[in-house]
Amino acid sequence: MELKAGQRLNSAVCDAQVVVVKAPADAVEIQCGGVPMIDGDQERDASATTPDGDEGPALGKRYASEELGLELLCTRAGSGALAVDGEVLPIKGAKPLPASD
Amino acid sequence: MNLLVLLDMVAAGRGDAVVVQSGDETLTANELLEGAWAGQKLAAGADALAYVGPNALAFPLGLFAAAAAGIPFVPLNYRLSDQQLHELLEPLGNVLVVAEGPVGAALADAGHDVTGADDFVAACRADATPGEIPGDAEATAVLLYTSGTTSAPKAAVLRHGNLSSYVIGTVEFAAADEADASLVSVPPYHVAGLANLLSNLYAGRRIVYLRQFDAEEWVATAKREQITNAMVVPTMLARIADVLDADETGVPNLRSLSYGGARTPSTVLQRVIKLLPEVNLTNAYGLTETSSTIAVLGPDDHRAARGGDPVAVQRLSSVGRVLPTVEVEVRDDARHAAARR
Repeated sequence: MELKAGQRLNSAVCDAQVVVVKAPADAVEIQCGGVPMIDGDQERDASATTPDGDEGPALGKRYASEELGLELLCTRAGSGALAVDGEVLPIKGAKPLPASD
Repeated sequence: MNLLVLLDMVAAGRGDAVVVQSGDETLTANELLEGAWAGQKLAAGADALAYVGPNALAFPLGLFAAAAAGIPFVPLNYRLSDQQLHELLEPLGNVLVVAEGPVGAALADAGHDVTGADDFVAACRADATPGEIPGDAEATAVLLYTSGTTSAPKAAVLRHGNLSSYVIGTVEFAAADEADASLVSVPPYHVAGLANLLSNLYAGRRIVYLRQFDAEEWVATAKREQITNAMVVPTMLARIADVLDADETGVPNLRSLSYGGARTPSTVLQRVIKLLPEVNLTNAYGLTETSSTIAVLGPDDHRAARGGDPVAVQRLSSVGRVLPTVEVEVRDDARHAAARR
């Protein structure tokens, strides 16, 4: 699927939801729990389950692939691992800053 | 990404925690989110939502109601004359103006659609069903009028994408301790007031508003509310230092104090460093047009100056280091890049 910044994706297998912060130029497939994620307005199959051993996304964490220019922000936590084209997406490290506001 | 997504995340994480407080009135994350959708109904059909008033619950409610409605939020300086406010509002089209007292009455007489701040807050406390969050990151989130030193005030356009990328790029979600509280005394029509609201909300830090700045009140509130963080402008810093000079108990919970908005006199800064030895001081430098902070002089730089090292003391006049998410270019007279970072 071709992604665009600001787009919301829901997991097809758990409660996870992400917002696309940075979209790659080329189409990619974002998966959660091994199954392609679906557009915000599509219904998910309630009977679906996540694979054992998956580490789901945590609320407020960013998941990114520098190589692809992809960055996702988790807006609802879930139990299925986030992946792009079959590769698990790592958490993007936080840049600690002194509180300025 | 719409700013409402940030609030939606905060509500999903700790919905029942108080996020904003003004006097005895409070809003939890869930109440602020529901209030945004209730306020959106009031703003239906308007081209913009303006707020003319001091720090109060109507400010965050107005901001997020406008975000839910997909229209710009316009916080205006309540010290401007009625005529100046009218001239700023006129070109914006059909504006829902939230204002109280004589200013509200004068703007209503001038033909504007005015709702009192208390009425607006009450209406935002009504039940509302959440709608679809507008998706356009290029849409204008806030119009901020700069002071207009050389001519009439000009609006800086802050888009949802500018503000949300600033927040998610510089603030770790829900990283604050549950007891953390931030005292906000910069006005809502200043970019620092806006950045402050978004950053503290996203960090999970309770925001305590001072309606208008007063140094005695600032110190008393910091003690009473066990304030851990605060942001002030230089003139406030000097007056707070005067009050703390004559105060033996000080502000024991304060861990972090940032200042900015104008150059701080070195004499004021050196007094503050001595008065608040345990506090992490940060100079935040930025512009309205850059969605707030782009460079910071951090606590270590301030600590180094405490010993009186001349280089470290001199460095206190610096705006510090550029944030990792920011690119800076210095251009020569022919507008060619002379240096880049």
